[in-house]
Amino acid sequence: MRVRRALASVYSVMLVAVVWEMVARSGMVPFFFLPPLSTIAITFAGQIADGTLVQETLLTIFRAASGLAIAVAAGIALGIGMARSRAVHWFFDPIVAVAMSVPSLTLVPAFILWFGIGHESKILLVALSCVWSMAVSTYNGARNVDRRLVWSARVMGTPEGKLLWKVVVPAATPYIFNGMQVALPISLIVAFVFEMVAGGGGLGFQEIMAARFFKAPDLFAALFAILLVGFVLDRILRLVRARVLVWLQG
Amino acid sequence: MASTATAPSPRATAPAPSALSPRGLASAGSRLPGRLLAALSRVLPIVVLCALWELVTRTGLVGTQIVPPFSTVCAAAVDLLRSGTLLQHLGVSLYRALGGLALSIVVGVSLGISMARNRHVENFFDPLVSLVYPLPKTALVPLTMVWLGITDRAAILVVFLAGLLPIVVNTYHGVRSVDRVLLWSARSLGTPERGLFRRVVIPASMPYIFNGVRIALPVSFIVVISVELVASKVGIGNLINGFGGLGIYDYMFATILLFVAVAFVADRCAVRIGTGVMRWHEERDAS
Amino acid sequence: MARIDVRGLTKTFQAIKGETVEAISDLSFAVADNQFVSIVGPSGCGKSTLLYIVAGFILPTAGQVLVDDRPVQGPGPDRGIVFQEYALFPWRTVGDNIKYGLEEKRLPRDEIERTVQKYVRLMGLEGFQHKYPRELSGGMKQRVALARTLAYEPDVLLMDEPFGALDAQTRELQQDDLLAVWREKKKTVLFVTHSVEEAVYLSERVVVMTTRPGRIKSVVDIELDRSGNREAIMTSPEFARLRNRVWLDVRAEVLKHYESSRGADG
Repeated sequence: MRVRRALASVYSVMLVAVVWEMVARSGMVPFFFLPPLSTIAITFAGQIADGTLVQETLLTIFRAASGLAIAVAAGIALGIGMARSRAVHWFFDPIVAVAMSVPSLTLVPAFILWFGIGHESKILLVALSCVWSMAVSTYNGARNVDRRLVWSARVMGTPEGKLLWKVVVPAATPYIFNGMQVALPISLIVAFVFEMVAGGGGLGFQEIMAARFFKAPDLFAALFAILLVGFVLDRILRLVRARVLVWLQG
Repeated sequence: MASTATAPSPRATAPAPSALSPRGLASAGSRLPGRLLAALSRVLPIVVLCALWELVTRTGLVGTQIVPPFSTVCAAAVDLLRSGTLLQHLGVSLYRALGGLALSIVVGVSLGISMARNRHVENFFDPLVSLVYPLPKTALVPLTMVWLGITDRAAILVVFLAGLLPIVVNTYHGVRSVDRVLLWSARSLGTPERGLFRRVVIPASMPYIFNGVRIALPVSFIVVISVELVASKVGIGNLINGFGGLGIYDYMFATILLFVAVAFVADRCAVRIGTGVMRWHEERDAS
Repeated sequence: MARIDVRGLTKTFQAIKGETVEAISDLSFAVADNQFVSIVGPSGCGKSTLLYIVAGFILPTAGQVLVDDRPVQGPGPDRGIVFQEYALFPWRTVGDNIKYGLEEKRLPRDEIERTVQKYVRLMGLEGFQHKYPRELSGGMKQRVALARTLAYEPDVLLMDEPFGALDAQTRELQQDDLLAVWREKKKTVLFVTHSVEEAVYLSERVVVMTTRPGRIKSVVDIELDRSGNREAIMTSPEFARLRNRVWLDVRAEVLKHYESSRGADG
């Protein structure tokens, strides 16, 4: 029964794979349009073996992760600041609202101008893209802390200064994690597209180069790599979240 | 009510104060400047920021080659609007974004509904949806470039694929979460089994469907820009890239700001339409 | 001739882990025409399940329900239902909700309007016709739910703890309104509730169910002098006696249920 259910859940994927292979090998479509899955797999394995794919993948991940780390730190700080001080909130609220509606990728040419085409520009743009949603999530988390939790802590002797760290931040962590789950794919997308536009290595650069030279298997290999990265990183974040938020119900 | 006095039922909630009552007039009078003040106070930090921008660039703190002054950017924006360049490219980008969005709504809602109603359809598409979910749809741009070249169709395809997921997922949940007591009540009130879908399921899932569209809208705008940055000869993204490449930064920033304004207005319109159409919905979106 | 005839009703469910749960077992009773009958019992005794089978939402595993000597095969406009959660269509105004059943009957528009007006007045909903459910209080929502069901004149009224979500004061007021409507409109009512007081106050007959699997423990005929007002009825010794009688039966089952579930946790 269990095996049946597991099979049932993959059969559509396998069907697509089989159809893909057959259509690609039939000659109905040109090679550069849709190479056979098997060829892609071989290319993929080959690129892992000689290290090229791994290197580019790690590069993209490095840029995305660094930017995300900065955004998380700055976003949490900003969010807490906005939650604690009405003045800070008043000042930053419209700024955050406006900043969130600017598609950060429009700033790629500006960032190239300011920071060049190396790592820094990509890391900084990723950070800029993610910081606002982190700030908003943290702010919401800090504001939505049940007053009764704070009151109970005060009654039990927690000094005002400690309240933040002992009550507010822990209570806000579910929101912060939600913010991170939203920011993670954004960080990957921004890093990836920046690489596509500006070059400088990474999976995005790999993919666009493969497209320009019509090297279809390489294109698909890069595509699958980014898919895999997105999937794996999301899973890791979920695991970490489950561990840290083991106390959360539902 | 039958057995009690003929006076209006005391259990009815009190009528709202009429606009002509002293309380009504007072609140009407204070409402206008109050709201104006609130709106101004929201805009003030932005104004401060723009002033800061102008100050910092004019005093030479930051070189004007790095960041053009705010006033120059505004002048460029005006020129762009007047010359029609912006409108031309904006038209292209909007066509691609909204065209792709329309397609994702049509296909996405249909797919979401079929998945919710039919176990087999759900089992078939569910793993595919989960598989594609972590892929940033902009990663498909080089692929569509190979398939369809640097055309409108390629851009629309990417926008379509990007918007599909949120719409399918939200529609699916909307249809699935129709409360069974609503379906049961309708049956007891005489609706035949096959009438339930039109009479109950569709209206009940509207808020969810609309939420999916509301999420997909900004996604379409962002994706269009990304596509145009990488693989297009026209459109706003391409325009931004062009100005940047030629070093005409005041025009570049002007284009960015104008585009953001358009996207903002589009989102506001969508919200307005949504709250209008769904006046009945419990959770009124405050934004 | 009984209006509702429940014969040997049994219902078993498949729980998630695969074991079978017998909700009700070989239940039989009858409700006469225009009679007001309440069903009480401990939590989980299957009283709502019983009601849903009579309504036609669930099919029994064994036995049958006859309404007007015809077996129940599905939901229908002859058996109106009122839920605890009101189940109002949130996208329709109060007036449109009340109209719903009448639209299904394909009645002419002016007749629908007149009927809606009639029930709006009857349930004290004047001025609220164009409001949406989200703008109403719990008590008002329940009145709309009742108006909606009454509007198309079913002969039988099935009520599943309709006042359960209301505060105590609103609840009492709604009970009296319901009695007034019942007397005027002459309906057969099957009323499920947790509250023994409510059952005794409202009904002519109270059916007490055992803990799971639900069977009939006892049937108590309520003979109260209902000529006075609520105050007189509820403070009368007769009311106290009947209430105690029913309550003790329910209490015994509640304790049985409690004991068995404690044993399970062990």
